[in-house]
Amino acid sequence: MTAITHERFRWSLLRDRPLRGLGIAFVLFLRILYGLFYLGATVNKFRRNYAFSDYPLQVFTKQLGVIDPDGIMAAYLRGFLIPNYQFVGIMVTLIWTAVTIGLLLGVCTRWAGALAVFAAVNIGLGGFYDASLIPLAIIPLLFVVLPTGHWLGLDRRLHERYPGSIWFR
Amino acid sequence: MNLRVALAVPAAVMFAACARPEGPRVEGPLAIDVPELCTVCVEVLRCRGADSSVVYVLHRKGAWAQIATIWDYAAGFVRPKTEDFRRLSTLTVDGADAVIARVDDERARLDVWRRRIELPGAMIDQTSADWIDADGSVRGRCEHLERDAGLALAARLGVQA
Repeated sequence: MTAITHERFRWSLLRDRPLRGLGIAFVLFLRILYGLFYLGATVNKFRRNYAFSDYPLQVFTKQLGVIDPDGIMAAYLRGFLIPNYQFVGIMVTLIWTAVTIGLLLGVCTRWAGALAVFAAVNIGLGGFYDASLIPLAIIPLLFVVLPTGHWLGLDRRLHERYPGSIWFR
Repeated sequence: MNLRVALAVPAAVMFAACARPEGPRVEGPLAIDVPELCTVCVEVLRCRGADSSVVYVLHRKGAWAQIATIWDYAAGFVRPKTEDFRRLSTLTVDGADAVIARVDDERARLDVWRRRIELPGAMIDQTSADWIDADGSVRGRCEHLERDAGLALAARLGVQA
């Protein structure tokens, strides 16, 4: 199978096709920024031992006290997050790590973007919804839809090597 | 301006902004626990002194202010948040909770580092719940109402928080 890859980002693109170049540069800038945001959050998760302590339980319990007790978010906290806080702690740590690596290195980038959307939705459902989650959920959709890992990252090379794989498209 | 200067100046400003706050942070437990990162929380504080009773309502943030907190989270990985601001309604009430005077659209400052809430003409010590005058004398004590009770009181006093 022949791999069809998207063009690689080069600075000369800004000169040769400025509109396209600027668009690609902007989306890549967002991806790196978003990746750095997740890097900070991931480091924080490891510092707090989020995966193997009762810290998530403390966070969820505290949040339950400040949201509408009859709302869907309280139900999600009471029904799923709090009883399964150890599993949730491990999954959150793994997902945050995967998103960080995916976005910063441009590997499995579309999947990392999808995971970031999933994470944002779950943060909202977990009682932490505010308007800041709207851009945090919309921006990674760009990384799902656009081939940013081919523009800049390992996806391009991996797709050439494994053209049949759905992971590096 | 050459490129190095163009990059160095914002970098220097950002590093300066990331300088660690002075002095150790006052740790809990807190009698008045107002979460500085909660943008949708409405906080209602009832303060009583010898000759006055005031209800302070700290409003939830607007949509754009909520979005701007993305920066707070990002910066918080490097430098802990030291302050926050909330829109404030101040209601002077009598013993039966009838409003005597009301001032809206003021600002409360949450001093996260020293754990106090700075209000126009007064301050609340979050560790002791003391209500402190601008001259430093203790005017009375404050109580942080539970979520539902606080929202109910705010609604009863006619505050759309």
